Amino acid sequence: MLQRYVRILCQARSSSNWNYSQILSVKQNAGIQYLLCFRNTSFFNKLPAEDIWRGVTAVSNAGKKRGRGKGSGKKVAKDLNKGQSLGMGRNSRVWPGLNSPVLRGYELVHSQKMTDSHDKVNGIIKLRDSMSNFRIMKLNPIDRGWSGSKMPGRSIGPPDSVGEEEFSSFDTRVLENKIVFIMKGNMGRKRRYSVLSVTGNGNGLAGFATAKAPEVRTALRKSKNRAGQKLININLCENRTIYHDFYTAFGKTKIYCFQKPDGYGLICHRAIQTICKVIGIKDLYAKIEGSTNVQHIVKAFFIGIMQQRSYKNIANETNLYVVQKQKAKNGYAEVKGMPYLPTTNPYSAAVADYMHFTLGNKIVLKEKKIFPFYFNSKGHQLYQTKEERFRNQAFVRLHDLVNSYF
Amino acid sequence: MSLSPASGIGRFYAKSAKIIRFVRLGCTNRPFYHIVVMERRKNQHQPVIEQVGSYDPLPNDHNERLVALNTERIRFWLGKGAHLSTPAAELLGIAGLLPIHPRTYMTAWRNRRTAAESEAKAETTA
Amino acid sequence: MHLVRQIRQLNGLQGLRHALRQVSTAPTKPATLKYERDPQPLFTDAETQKLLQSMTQLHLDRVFRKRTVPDNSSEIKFMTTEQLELEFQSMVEKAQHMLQMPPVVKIKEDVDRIIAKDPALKDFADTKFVFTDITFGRRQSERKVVVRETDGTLAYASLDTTKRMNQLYFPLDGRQSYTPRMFALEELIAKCLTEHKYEYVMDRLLVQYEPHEPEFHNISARVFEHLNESKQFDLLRSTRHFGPMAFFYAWHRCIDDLLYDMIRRDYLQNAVELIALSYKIHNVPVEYQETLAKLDALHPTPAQSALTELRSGMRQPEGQQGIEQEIHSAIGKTEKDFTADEISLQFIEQYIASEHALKKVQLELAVQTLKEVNQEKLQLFQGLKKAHGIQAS
Repeated sequence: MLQRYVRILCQARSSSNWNYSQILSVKQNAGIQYLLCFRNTSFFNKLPAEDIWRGVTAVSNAGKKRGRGKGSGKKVAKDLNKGQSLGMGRNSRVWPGLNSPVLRGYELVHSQKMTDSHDKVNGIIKLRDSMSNFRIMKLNPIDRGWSGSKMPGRSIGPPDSVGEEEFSSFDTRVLENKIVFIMKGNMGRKRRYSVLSVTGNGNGLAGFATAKAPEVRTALRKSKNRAGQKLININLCENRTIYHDFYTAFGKTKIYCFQKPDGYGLICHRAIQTICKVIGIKDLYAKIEGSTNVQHIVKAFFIGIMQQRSYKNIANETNLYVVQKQKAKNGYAEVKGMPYLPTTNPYSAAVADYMHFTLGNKIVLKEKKIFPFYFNSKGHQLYQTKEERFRNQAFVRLHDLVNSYF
Repeated sequence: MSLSPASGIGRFYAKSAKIIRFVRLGCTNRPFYHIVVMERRKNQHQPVIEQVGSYDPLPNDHNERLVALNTERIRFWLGKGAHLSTPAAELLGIAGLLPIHPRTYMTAWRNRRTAAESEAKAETTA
Repeated sequence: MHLVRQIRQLNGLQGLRHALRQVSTAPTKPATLKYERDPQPLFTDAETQKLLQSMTQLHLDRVFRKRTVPDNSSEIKFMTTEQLELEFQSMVEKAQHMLQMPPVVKIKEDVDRIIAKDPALKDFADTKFVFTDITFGRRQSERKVVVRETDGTLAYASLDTTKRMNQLYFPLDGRQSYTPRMFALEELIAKCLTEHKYEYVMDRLLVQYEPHEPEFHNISARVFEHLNESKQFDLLRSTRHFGPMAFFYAWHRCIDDLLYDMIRRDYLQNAVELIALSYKIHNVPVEYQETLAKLDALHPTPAQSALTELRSGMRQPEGQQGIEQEIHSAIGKTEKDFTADEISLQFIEQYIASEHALKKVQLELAVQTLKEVNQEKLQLFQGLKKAHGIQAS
């Protein structure tokens, strides 16, 4: 019954010019034959609809154990029975004995047309569409973190206000979100979520904190609020970068940070990028050597920016003038720091290199560039020689297009 | 990988015959020549001793054919006894660096003759 | 495939474009003022150069202002006092170099210089040949370009062809091988001028044209004329174009607006120099050398004042000198300045009274206002000095 009904409905839907009454007449004429063709002992009529559907859509016990069938985006089979009742079709008619009593009072009810209800069909179609279109909650690209819908890199808003203190201009970003276990005497392996987040107002005030909780949401909130309580004031150079290049380390993580000109951007590890955005640093280059453990990176970076010295302090430490020459100003020398007692020893300036001084005599490891395996092969050399004649072609063509007067 | 530079990377023997000649570069239907010094016996597409100029045989927007000559080096190599290929000698003659090559006169005379003939033909038919 | 078709289309349009370019290279609206005789000897004269340099002034923050460059990185260095002093001096030298004025010369005429004529060569080819000497290490001006015409004449190329060949084989950075639209289309250059982009126009002009070319003369004259109307002279101060501009006004007897601007901004020495320059150009029998010598003795040169300004940022001297400097910074003038002002005002008034000044009323008013302000300042200066217990010398 069910299958037949579905087939007819589908046909009717797929071809709009199908004459509906024709189908009905065919059905009526071949009624007896039809019934004879079918065995009545199918699982269709032995089991209730719910059980059949479960058989189609559910996951086996073994599968459940392995964690199958929990995905949010899994395909859900459509229940075509939903929203329909027996005897109520597109051609709404009164079928005595099917959808209405045979006798009403003393009167025999005849098969007759009911008031047309076009909306009903539409309603069913709509219901089915809503069933199939299971949507994953889509994140705005701006709200996305470092990777997909994972928490690290995502913003979780400002910390909750403490009393009258409000963190209105603050923004908190998650840096790490992981599961940690500990062994308990009576509970065994106890699972908790650990969240490391950094909060800041984008103008030199920032803090970071780790928090653990059995629930992700609680851990996020805890770490956010704890970060808000641990704010550190950081001075920014020209409101956009660090005061000088520096070297900083925590554990096996070593970071070399470099002051960069306006418009350079943040060229560094994504964790440092996120921290810089929250602090308000806009131009920075950083190179990490050793471990890239996020907790250690955060700690090392915060130690580094807190230990910065002003130009004046550097000048007083070395008894030398600190002079900046900008290429954008054609090498105009600006005195940034003046010492109280300028040294008269001409060799001290020649010996003291500013970058060596600020980096603490450390040098970034320059890794050897590895060429691809084919680089020295004869074929590749031939290819490069052949390509050489077209080296400027694209540029010339573009220049021609740009400078044409049309 | 770069092409061989204009200063040349071609190896040569001290007493071998050198020649100032054209090297055809450019592509199909668009000739462009380098004027180079190279060993006489070598193929034109081998590394040259030195590039001493260039010649673009297709006229430009202003209806000119452009020739660049490094006169200092050309005179140096000629003084060393370098040979000249006929087209190169013709070009240097037109430039006024050498006496005009007889072939240039020949071409000029032939061109004038064909022009006169075609004019005469046009007159008779008209 | 699509690209190929597009390129073919473009090639087809080349001829049309060429035609259009020929049309667009037609000169823009000509300027009204022209140099009728050769201004070069007067311009390159040492005295004139000194006057023009002094008028240009040297503000380092203006010369070394922030520009857009591909690499805007900066370098930080440690320096001792001596090194810093040397650095300052080299900076001033560099600034002076950057302020070097483009020469004002007359328009160079094209002359036919035939090397050889060979009638036997007639019709040797259907187009002419252009030969360029690309010998290394020659200057652009001494590079030889010769043309063999189809009739067999060998001659030196015209100035236009020579420039084109130089640009082709030895391109100058920023110079284009065709007329930039800015100089070709009247509405574009007019737009630049109404937006007061004088320095930009002049810089680009200097890159694109040689000072002896008619386009250079025409467009620079137009810029200066427009400046004289808009009176935004300060936009060119401390740039390399201020000298030629002042020279242009002095030559064409229209210095009054510039003079008014100088008086209003209290650049009295510059005003005197401008008047002197105009006297010098037009051989007016007025003794200006004496006044100039007096002023020179009282005023430091632009380079010196730039150096002192740089040094002042380094260290504050102590004691009585410190107080004097404080008074100076509060009022903006020293005793020497007041004497210099008196001398220059006398000279300027003399000029205004003469028949050379055209906008007499305006200039007189400006001088009067300045005098009053100066009087007030002088009183304040003396009062302050008395209060600090410094005797007037």
